[in-house]
Amino acid sequence: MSRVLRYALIVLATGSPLAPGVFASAPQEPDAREIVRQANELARGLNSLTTASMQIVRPDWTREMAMKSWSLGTDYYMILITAPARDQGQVFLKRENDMWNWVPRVQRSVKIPPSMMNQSWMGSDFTNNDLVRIDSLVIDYEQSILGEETIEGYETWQIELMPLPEAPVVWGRVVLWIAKDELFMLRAEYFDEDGELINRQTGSEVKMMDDRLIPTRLVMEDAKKPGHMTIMVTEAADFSYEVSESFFSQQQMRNVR
Amino acid sequence: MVRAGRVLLLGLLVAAAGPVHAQSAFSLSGFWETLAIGVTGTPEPVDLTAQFNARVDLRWYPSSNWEGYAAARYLSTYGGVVESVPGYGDLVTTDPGWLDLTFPVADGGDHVVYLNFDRFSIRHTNGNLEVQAGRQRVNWGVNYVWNPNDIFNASSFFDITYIEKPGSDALRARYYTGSTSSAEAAVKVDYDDRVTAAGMYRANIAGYDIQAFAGSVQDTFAAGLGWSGQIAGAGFNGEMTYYAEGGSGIANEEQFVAAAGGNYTFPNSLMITTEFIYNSLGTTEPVGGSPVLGALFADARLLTRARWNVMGSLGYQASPLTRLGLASVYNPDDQSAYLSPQVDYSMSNNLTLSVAGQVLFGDPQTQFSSDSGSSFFAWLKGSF
Repeated sequence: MSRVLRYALIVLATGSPLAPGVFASAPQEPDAREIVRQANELARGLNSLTTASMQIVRPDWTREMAMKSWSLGTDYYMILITAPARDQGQVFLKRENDMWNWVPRVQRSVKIPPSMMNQSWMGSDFTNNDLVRIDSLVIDYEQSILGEETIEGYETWQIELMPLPEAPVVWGRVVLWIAKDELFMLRAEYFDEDGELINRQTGSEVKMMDDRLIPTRLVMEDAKKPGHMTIMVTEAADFSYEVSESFFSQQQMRNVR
Repeated sequence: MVRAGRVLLLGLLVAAAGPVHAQSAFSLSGFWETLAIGVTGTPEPVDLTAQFNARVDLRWYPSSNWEGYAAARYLSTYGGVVESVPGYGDLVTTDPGWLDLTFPVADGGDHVVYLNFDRFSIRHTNGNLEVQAGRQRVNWGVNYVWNPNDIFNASSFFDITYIEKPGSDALRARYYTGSTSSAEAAVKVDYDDRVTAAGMYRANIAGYDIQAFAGSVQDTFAAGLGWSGQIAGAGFNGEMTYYAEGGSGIANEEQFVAAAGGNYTFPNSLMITTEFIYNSLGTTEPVGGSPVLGALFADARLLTRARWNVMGSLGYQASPLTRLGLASVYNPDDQSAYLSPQVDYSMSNNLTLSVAGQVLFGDPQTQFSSDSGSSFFAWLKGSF
């Protein structure tokens, strides 16, 4: 179960697309924190219904899974696992600080304690902070503009993130490349406390999803182990999906399909 | 014949209840598995049993308000246990439910083949109200190992190859009073026409899922309480059930059964789970008997025959493909123990290879007496 949970959290944190990104402040005086905040918001969306797939790739094997997820802000979400067959039908429900897992084969819902949500993902392409503290890049770091760079035809801000003194994060430094106009993240590099590159994330296949352009394919690579990566693909997204808080209920958890 | 008539009746109910609409839909899933079980320490050095099993879960949605659900298990067992346990074929093909949904296919000297439906129900949803009739799992348990609140369809922790667990023949109504609260009532009749009827209320209070129920279990009053929450990041859950004197169940004395435990997952994915059970009618003397044989007709009043049992388990995701588990149960009075290691290896997206053991350490006549023999399992499971 925990493996499925971790997959689910990863897609929620990074795979599901975001809210409309409008660059509110004057572009001449870019506010690095505001850019990261908007990019982060764009990457998750408020009301959304998305279908996504994930592939874990290793030199000798790959494993795949697929899911459908509903979200309302950061407090409410529901994820239905649609593949692989063994886990198909499992549902994860989050309501504010409570989280449940519905296992249809046993007709049982299990309340998930915080320690289970806080574990690192076994493939180590992601850390627990990536998954659980979805807004970590905004609240746990001090952001500053490092420079500008054009990536795949998109002009981007290169932004450096240094952890705040007491922040519960594992990274010593993070560098993000965020498209200036579109506000989506095209690249991210995660360094440890010794300044060594650990993970590299790349966004590509920018497509129109519902009402907005977003990278639909995210690859998280282990910088030290060639051929170790996780690929997340957003198959479909609906940002005008009408959903209210009451949708995220235990009754719905047992019935979504 | 009477029970066959009941099955027919339920079938007609399904047919009448579910007018086929244009959006009628089916979903099909399941698995097949080949299983080898070796038991040591019996008169034979190793008593080997082979099984080929398959399960098909079929869900039918005739309209948005109706759901039909049938799950069929095909089990074929060869050698080993069939020969060494007298009457094994009759034992496993006797359906414990009000409906007889177990159909023997073949029963030879060394093999038993049968088909069993452990889910066979129809459900209607009307807003916040859900009504379900037929064989279904009325799952009131919250614990990992022992579920004193699971009064409708108790199951055994030691039955490691039947993770879906049995259902019961029941009529159930559940009304959702809020996003995380509900009131539920269920009535079950078993093979002996004994009735279990109870009502439960569930709510989420201050981060805790709380449940309380009261009713009649096999003609005696029963009431219980269960919870699931957390303390400092660790999961904390428990269940307790009280039975009044009398009734037609396995005990007619007053009884109190309680089980509680916790779990904690470390950042490296190592998960530790502990649980204990207390049974007021349990004995502090040596219990005797194999825990594995107790699995066939599990009863919420007889989750253990001992006064106390404690459990500790470890789970560890050694790699994305390999999961290691180690579970142990200890009887502190007769000082016998059960140890169950398990390894699951994902061979492909839908194929899993598992190896497990159930090793017993105890003096003769203790709960986990070494004389009962230790079991070893290897199985390959393909999901679809």
